[in-house]
Amino acid sequence: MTIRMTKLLSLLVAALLSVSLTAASWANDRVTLTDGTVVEGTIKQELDGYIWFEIRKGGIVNEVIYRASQIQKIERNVGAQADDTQQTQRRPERRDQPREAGATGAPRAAVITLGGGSGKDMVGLYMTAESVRRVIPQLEEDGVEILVLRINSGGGALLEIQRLSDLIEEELKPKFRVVAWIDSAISAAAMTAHTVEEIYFMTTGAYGACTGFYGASGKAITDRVLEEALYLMERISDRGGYDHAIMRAMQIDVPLSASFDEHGRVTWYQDHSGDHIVNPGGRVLTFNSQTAKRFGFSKGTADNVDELAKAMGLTEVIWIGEQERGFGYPISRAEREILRFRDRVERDERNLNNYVDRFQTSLAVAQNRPREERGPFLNRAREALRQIGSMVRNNPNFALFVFGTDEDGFWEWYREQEEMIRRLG
Amino acid sequence: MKTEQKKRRWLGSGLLRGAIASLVVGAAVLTGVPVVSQQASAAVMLSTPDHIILRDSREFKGEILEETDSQIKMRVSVHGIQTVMTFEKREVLSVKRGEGAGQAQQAQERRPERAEARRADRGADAARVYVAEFKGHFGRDMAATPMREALEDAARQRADLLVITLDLRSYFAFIQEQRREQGQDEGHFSEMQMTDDILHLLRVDMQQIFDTPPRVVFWVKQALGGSCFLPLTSREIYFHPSGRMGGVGNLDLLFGGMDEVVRQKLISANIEIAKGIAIAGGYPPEIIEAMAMRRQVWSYRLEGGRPVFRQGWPDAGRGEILLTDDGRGENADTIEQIVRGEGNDTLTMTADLALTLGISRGTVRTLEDLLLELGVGRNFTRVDDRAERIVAGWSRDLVNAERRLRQLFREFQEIQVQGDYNERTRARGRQIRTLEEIQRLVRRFDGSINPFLGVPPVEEIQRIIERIRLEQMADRR
Repeated sequence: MTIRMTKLLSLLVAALLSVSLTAASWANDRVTLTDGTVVEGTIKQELDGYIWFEIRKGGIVNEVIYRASQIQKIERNVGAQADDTQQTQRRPERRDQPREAGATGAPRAAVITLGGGSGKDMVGLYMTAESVRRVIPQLEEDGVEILVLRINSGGGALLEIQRLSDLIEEELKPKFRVVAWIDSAISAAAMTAHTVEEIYFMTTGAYGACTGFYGASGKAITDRVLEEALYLMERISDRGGYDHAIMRAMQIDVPLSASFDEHGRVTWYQDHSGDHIVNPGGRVLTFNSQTAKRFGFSKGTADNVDELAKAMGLTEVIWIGEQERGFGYPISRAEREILRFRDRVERDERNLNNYVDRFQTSLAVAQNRPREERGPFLNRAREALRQIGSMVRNNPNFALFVFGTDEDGFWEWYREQEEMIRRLG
Repeated sequence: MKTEQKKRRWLGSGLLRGAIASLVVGAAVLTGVPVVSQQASAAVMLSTPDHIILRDSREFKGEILEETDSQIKMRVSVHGIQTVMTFEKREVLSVKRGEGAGQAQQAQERRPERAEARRADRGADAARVYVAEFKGHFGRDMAATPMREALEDAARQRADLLVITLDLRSYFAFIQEQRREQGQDEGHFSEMQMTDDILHLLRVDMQQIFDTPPRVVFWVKQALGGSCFLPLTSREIYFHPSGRMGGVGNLDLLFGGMDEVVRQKLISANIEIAKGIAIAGGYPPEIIEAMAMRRQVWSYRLEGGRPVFRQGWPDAGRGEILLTDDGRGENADTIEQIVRGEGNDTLTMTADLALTLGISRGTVRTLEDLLLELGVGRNFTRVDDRAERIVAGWSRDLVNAERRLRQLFREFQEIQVQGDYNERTRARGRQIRTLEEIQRLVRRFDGSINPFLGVPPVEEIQRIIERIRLEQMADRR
């Protein structure tokens, strides 16, 4: 039996101890614990004798869970007191240098999407580390402090998970307060989001089902490949501060249960011995917004940026970007670039056969013509080759998915084709 | 998945396959889109339509729907198929407004006046009610395009109550009808994937289409297959006395041939995504399991009038009632039960059961009854004059488009590329124009076209066009 208390929850309890002595202007519920401690905040949920209690300080929200035996008295709507802080706090340990807040003092936040749903969502093709890396300078220029990664993907390539996780951990977290906002994070998408400590769900959100398998055969990964995937996710779980047992239940068929201790902390069990069965076994775990919230995996549920800001404990926030039809969040410059990237990938994916066919047929016709008649056909072949090159330049993973080689191998092939066209001309 | 579906449909059968096999590769230079031949453009439905002449001398007749500083939108009818085309003004040489179209425009202008008059008759606080009834098969007669057009129209009419009536069988039932097999609606969970765009419309786009989003009510006559998820986006569902909602009970039977753990992964992902739809609508997620999983047993009891669900056989001592059994052996639903939607292998809600489970707010036989239930009473104004034309018009246009596609495939196959250079060039030009018209229809009705037509994706058609162009380049006088 494996029992682990999550790093995240340790931090949470530490945070609770530090903030419980101060009151906030929004607080309207008061809980007196059996040990005499009085905490003020908002009761978010009550279930099976437990209460989910939200405590804020200066825009930072902590949520703790108390069970009935801990609670001496609950007072509701006790009235607000003065807030002792004005500005939203950020996590200083994640920042090398403090950033200047917006003109009003409110933090500046932006949403970028990882995966666009509706067929434009494959991890490794539409959701790549490289496409996010390209927009970091724009986010910095726009003074973004809080970066919301809105994830909507049904999964994809295992190979991209490490890259995305490294990007989030090493390049995004030091610059921004990074938040994952889950529309749908299935398989590789959930494995990526696991790098992020702060996860919020949309009401419709789903997160999990991370079993690796070979698409063509429907066979699950086994042996060394499986062990490596499990180990990869243990390391990524550590980055996000999650108990290894959670992701393991999402990857393979093992049970998962949980108990809340007297301080409301969750302990996870990779069997049925916890008080609450999270995954009964015989099924691979996927959280929905209710189960994620109930077990403290999700920090809140939000269907729009206003609700998200509220769930994040932001009393004020400046959302970077413009509202546009068809999008439930503001479109920043960085997000526009991400959208362009995905549109381009979709167009290339759809037209890939056309590029290749045009290149091959034009080349074949040219080869069978006298040299003096080859010009138009070679031009056509050259144009198609450029389209193929441009496609890989936009998304280097096409080299692997389409040509079965790495980027270097692709460009070597590309130069050979250019040379062949030159010799034919 | 969408791509996979398209691929499957393309691979399934193919009118065009023969055409490709017999294709003589060739080419022709084409002008840019939009391209509709003059012959085609003459066949507009309006008797005295608006008339646009482009700088490249092409002419279009139809009904001008919208004109901005840079663009003109016109509804044209090509061989009985209505489509909306957008012209850049810099390409337009002249615009002549026809009398018929003018009348249409005047009628359009008068419509709000009539509505206002009716509204005045009924009092200033009369509710503006827009009813859109989708009837037929999900994925065919109900698709994202007519839903979007209906929503946009409702927004233009400033509707404050939107009633979406569903009388839809599953897409699978349509497929079975095409195969001349007995149509059954009892279990097609995979149709959930076809709901993506419509759900996005109802959840996200709705907020932007309307200045003030209306109250949305679903009235379920039949919502089977993928359509059963749509009412769950609204907190107000009403049933017709013979209403049924469900028909997705086979998720745990899917993904055969895969390793068990992979099956479980796919089932888990799908069921939780579907539960998300219920959760967002304020409905208990357990109903999704009961609707989708054929081998699961579910019971419920009522506490304070509210259902409490439990997985397992009912405990009579606790007042539990069987909701779904395991469908095995003697428990398997009979054909009679399946046909009447009265089986219990999976949950397909009838009006009574939906009411008991708190999914339905009431059972009403007529729209008037529904409006009474909604508290609108008689004090309302219907503002859905165009709804029938949009929703039923989509279905009619789809059928016409399929007829036209068959004709175009035949025409394409009959084009012989032979004779002298000029004749071969002209023939290839005809081939390309025919293929481009096919592309246009496929784009408009993408996803709803009968898969047995074997219509390839537009990109595949484009590949054929490219080959024809190459052939033309290679041709000699």
